[in-house]
Amino acid sequence: MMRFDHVSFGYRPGPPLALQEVSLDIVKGGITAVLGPNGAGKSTLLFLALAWLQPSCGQILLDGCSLGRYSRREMGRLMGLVPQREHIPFEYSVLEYVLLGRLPYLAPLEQPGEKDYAASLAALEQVGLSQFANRSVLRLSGGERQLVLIARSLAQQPRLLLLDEPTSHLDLHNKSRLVALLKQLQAQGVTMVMTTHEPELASALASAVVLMNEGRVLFCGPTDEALTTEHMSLLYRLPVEVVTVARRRIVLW
Amino acid sequence: MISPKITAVSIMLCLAPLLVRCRPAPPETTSGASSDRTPVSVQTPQPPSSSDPAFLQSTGDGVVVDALGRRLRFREPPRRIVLPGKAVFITADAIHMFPGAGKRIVAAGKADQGAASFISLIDPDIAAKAILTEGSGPEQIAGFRPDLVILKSYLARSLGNPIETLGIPVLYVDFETPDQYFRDLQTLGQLLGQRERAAELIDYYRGSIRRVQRNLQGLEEKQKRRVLLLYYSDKDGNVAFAVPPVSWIQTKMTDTAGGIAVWKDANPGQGWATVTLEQILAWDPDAVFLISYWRNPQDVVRGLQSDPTWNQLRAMKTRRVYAFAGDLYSWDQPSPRWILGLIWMAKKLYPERFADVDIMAVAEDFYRVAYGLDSSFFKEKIRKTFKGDLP
Amino acid sequence: MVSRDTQVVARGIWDTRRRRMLAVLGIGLAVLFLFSLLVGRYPTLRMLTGGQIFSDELSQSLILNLRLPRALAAALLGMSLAAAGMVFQTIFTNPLVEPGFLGVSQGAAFGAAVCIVCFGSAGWLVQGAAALFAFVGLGASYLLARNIRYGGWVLRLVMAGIAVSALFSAGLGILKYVADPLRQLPEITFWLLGGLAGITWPRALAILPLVVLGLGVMLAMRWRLNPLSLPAETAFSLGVAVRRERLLLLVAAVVPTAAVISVAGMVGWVGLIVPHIARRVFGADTRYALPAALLMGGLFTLFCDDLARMLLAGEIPLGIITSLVGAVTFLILMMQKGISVQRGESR
Repeated sequence: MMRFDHVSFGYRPGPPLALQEVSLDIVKGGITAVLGPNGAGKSTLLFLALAWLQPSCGQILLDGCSLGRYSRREMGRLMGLVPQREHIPFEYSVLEYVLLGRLPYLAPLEQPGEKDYAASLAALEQVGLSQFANRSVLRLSGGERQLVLIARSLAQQPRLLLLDEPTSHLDLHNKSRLVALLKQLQAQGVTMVMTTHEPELASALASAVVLMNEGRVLFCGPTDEALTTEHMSLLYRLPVEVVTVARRRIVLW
Repeated sequence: MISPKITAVSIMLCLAPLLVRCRPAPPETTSGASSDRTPVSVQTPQPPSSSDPAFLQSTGDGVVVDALGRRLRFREPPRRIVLPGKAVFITADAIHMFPGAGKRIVAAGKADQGAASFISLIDPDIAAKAILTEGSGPEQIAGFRPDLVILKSYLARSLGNPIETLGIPVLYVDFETPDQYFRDLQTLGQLLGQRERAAELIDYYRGSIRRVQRNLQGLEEKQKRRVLLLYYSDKDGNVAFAVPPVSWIQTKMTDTAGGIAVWKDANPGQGWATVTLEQILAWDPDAVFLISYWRNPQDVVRGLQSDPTWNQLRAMKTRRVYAFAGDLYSWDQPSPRWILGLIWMAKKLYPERFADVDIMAVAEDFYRVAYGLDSSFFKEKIRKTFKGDLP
Repeated sequence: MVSRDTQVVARGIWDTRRRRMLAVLGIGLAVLFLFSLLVGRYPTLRMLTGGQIFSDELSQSLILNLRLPRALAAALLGMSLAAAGMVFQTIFTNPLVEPGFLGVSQGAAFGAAVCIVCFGSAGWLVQGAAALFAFVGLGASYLLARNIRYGGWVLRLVMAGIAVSALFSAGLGILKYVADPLRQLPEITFWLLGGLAGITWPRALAILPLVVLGLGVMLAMRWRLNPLSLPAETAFSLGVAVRRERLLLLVAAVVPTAAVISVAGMVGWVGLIVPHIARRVFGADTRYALPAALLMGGLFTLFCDDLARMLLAGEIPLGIITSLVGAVTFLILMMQKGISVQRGESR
């Protein structure tokens, strides 16, 4: 669905580049986890996929067309971003917040209408937060807020969902809730790219894994092939052991 | 959760008219029945010009050109004049120099400066007239149904324009420099239909100035005394001394009196500028004139005489620190008495050249010429208000 | 699990309630406007009755030529400042800012004063200069805030704004000191404390086009203002042209603010307090909160201006009344629930 073709990017001119000669394929309908240590360039990759950043070399193709060819509104309908954490400055209600996801479907001066509210409510139902529709976002717990962010992206009715470390602040309960939701979305045909630094999450969820370190792709392929002892030790520069427990890969350090 | 706030706002809005209605009626009163306003047309009001003062030309009966160069036409002299603003005595006393003009004023702002106001002494109808509170707006002024409002030109934007939009004509005066004084006297003369009287007054002033200049004839530059004019204020307990701007009448008076105004570079602004004692000592003037409007200037000077730092001043040591003369108003200001201030200053600076000039006689003569006041009035009412270094 | 229908109904009720409240505000403004026309100090403090108005030509002139432009200017002033405050608070995600805190008001006053001193009082030129310097003030505050190395975003922006405001105020003071007070500039107290005493029709009409334009743009984009409070990349992901829309809204906020300040001087607190109250009553969604702030701002300023000209015999500078009422309201708000200033991350 999306392909990176020898993409390089630097926040500042000259070395070191944030991303160096990255080439990878995002398969439609799958969940791709981008795994790597802090500072590996995972978020940069995501922002390039979003077209928020422009590559200095190479190109990114979405469904065969260069990303630059799409208009912003088209991209808003195709792709959604679920940021890692969002600072919410004002006391919006959950529904109002999710409604913002309907932006790509509205003309410049158009106000949201029935259809938009229906889509937002549907998104809320999907993440299981319908009962909070009129509650203030600030009164939700961290996990619930993450779900609201996902609901907002779902209101965009995207085909590709970009998630930036979605579970890094969640406790076990919420983490499993999120995993179940993402699996559900996958069943509905949404392609997902997710950055994470937790190998266990990749193992639980992803169909393909991209291993990144210092701006380079170390490996790109199916989960089982990616999460091996050699790869993990190389990635984290630490002797680790990968074991399989109940069909899940666990990294022991 | 929401409705209490809406209720509170609504209550506030409903209470507002009640609050407004419950205010006690202000002390000002409207005098007399409203009369028809004298029909007036204002021709082509021009935007304020910042360069030369307007020269008066009477191009026909009833056309008056004011300080901002605007032409107003009157069919007859106005009968209900209102004088708002501050330091109203400057304008009011000038108007009263025209016989019978005082009757035409129906309301004026505060006209006293610490003591009684002059017009309350000479105007028999003063009790029936209203005193405008400071900062009165166009609505209150309109309440007096004036057919003319006379304002200082700096009030054009804030007060003059709104008054004019109500159809009430406005005449602007300046009365800040001697040239403006003569021009504005002529304007008043035009306005009141007393052009000859205006000419008479201007002749009096010019004549007095000529006499001073005659007495100063032959005075060379190096013989001129270095003069410092200081305005004393102790507002809020802070004692400060300030010098006037170059454009004001005080500086011009100093020049005409044959003095060298040492502060000319010190005040680029347009109002009183505070100076430090250090600067005063640096100037080392030959003579210092101390102006004080609210506190008796002689008290101030006496206070300075006991101050050790001030005693370092050469002018203090040579006893040439003078308390500026005045009666009801200090003679340095652009009220009609400025001519007395000029003569008094010249005499103080060059007593040998003005030995023949008797200030008391000059003052008495002034009040006779300007206001038709006789000798007994002068001695009873005016003489006792004299302040400053006067005999 | 609450049924969808119930959700829709609940949401519908809230929307209807808000629309109704907006209508109430609109009617309130109209009523206050009428009140302002009829009540004044002519010749004593009272309300003019119909009969009086018909018989007295001066009353008619008073209402049409003095009170009407003044009330209009007051309403426009309040609307512009409140709407601008709402836009600034949303875009900068900072509930403590208003035009006066970001160097906008002071820049506008300085620009207007410079123009009057150098070029005379041509209406359009003065407004243009005011708008130009207002932008300079805003830009300087923003850039300065980006470079300060102390405190969170909220604090940095306010500090930078205060510094820039102080610079422009000082510049204004110097201008006033040096310029000719008899001919060119109104007194410094007019600029610093604001006042609508000298408003006549020419001045009121001069600001009308720019104000209507700016308010119109802000109202048209009232819902799109919401996503501009999100981080830039998130807004981008939602299909928003972030820089362009932010700039457009800032221009639409600054231009009417500068225009009204050039005729009314600096009036503070309206842009800070009114958006807060609007958000509290109408919720954070600017779709309703912005028009609410607009109407409330008009009401607030009109009310304060009525007090300014009627409370005492003399004219009280408008800024003093708005500061008094605004500060008291602010205190009450703060003590009520504790103002929820979200701890901001650095941007």
